[in-house]
Amino acid sequence: MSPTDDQIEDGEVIERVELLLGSLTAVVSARVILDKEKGPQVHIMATSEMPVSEVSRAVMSALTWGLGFQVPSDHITVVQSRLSRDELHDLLGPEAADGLAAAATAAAVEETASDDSEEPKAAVPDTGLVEFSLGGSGDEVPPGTGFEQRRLELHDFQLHKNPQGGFAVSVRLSDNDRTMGAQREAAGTEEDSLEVPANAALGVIEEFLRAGSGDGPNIVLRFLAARRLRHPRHDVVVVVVEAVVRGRRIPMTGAASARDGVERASILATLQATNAFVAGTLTAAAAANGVSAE
Amino acid sequence: MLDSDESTVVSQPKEVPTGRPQPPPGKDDVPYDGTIRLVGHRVREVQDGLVQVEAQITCEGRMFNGAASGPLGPPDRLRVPALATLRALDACLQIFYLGVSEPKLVLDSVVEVSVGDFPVAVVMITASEKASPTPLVAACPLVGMSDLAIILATLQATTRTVSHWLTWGDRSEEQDRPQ
Repeated sequence: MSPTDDQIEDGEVIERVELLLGSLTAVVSARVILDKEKGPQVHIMATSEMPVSEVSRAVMSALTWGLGFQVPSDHITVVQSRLSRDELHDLLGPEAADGLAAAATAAAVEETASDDSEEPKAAVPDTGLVEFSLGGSGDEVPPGTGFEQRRLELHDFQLHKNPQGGFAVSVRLSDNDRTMGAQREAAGTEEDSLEVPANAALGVIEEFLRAGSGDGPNIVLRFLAARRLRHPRHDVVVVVVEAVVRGRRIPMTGAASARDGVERASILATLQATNAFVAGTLTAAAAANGVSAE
Repeated sequence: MLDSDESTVVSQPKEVPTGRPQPPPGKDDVPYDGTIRLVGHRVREVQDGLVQVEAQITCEGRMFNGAASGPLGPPDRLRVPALATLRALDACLQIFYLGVSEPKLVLDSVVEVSVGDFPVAVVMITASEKASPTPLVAACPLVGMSDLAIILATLQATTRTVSHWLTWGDRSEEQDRPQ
């Protein structure tokens, strides 16, 4: 029996969710089961470097902030081990570490799903979000995956202003050594200077997502609004966009300095807005392609 | 008023910390990878009308805390989480920054604006090391008072710059920065 489109899409989404959750502090592996009757079930294996309640909250926050998914807390099971992350990987192996069934056989593993267990105290105990990827310089993926978080960068930008009015903008973005570009022309109003470059960038970002996701869910990126903000020490462009994934709308915001031009800032703000979403999607796609290539 | 009107955070030059992590193989000329992650935050009302925000970040396996307090009401309320985050970043720079310059992160403003129909908080920071000051900005959707959103926006605005400082110190761009 061949998988249906829905099953393929579910697989892509699950892969992305598991990859995101696996990158959280203390999480060694994550498994998501889509149960059509009971709803999604999330199973987490974690080290003891962080209280179970915080791991659980971090998982909920990452799902909400990163992907726009609402999963009830009683659908999240956290299994905590006294072993370190490395020890768990040595013990379980990279494949087994992905499955909680294997973890359950480890003698050192204890079930601590309830919040009333004795937990180590964190320096900042009332944390809302334990960890969320924020850029940086790599090393943001769980060990053993072999994939780095990816982000699109502005590779080339050209603006041609027409003496008679209007402008043409050319945007080229890069993901590692791969580049894609788009061109747009506009009448040249102030709104155009904000919206047209952002829309051009969104078009290129969508192309990257389509190229990377294969048969994955169709992702639509929409420009919602932009504004130029002049402050005594900052000239800023703020952009609001949304991603629509299987009917779910995820609003995202970005900002960039307009010191090198409003049009360029609009593109950079759009990239900032979509960075975390795009990085997760491209990384998941790379992981999926890597697995299938093997 | 905020607990301190000093919104400038300056890292002093210092000795190389003992017990620093070893660079990964093949990266002998890169002291640290400079990855910064948010661990958590705490918000509490310390007095009537006064709120305190603590932010905790991790870098190279070490935790760093920053705290700030200020009024519960706008407009300074928005600055409190951003300032706490910058102080956590400063604590990190105090340990891991290896240059001789004094990198500075100045919180210029956190403002609430409407972009279309959407309320958005914009965090504006000036970063300076030894070159000319660099404006850093980020934005986050503002639904009620979201300390976490502002903390995330502050980190989003600064992490690439701070990571670069931690990785490359104040060595000249032309000589040392990867292309």
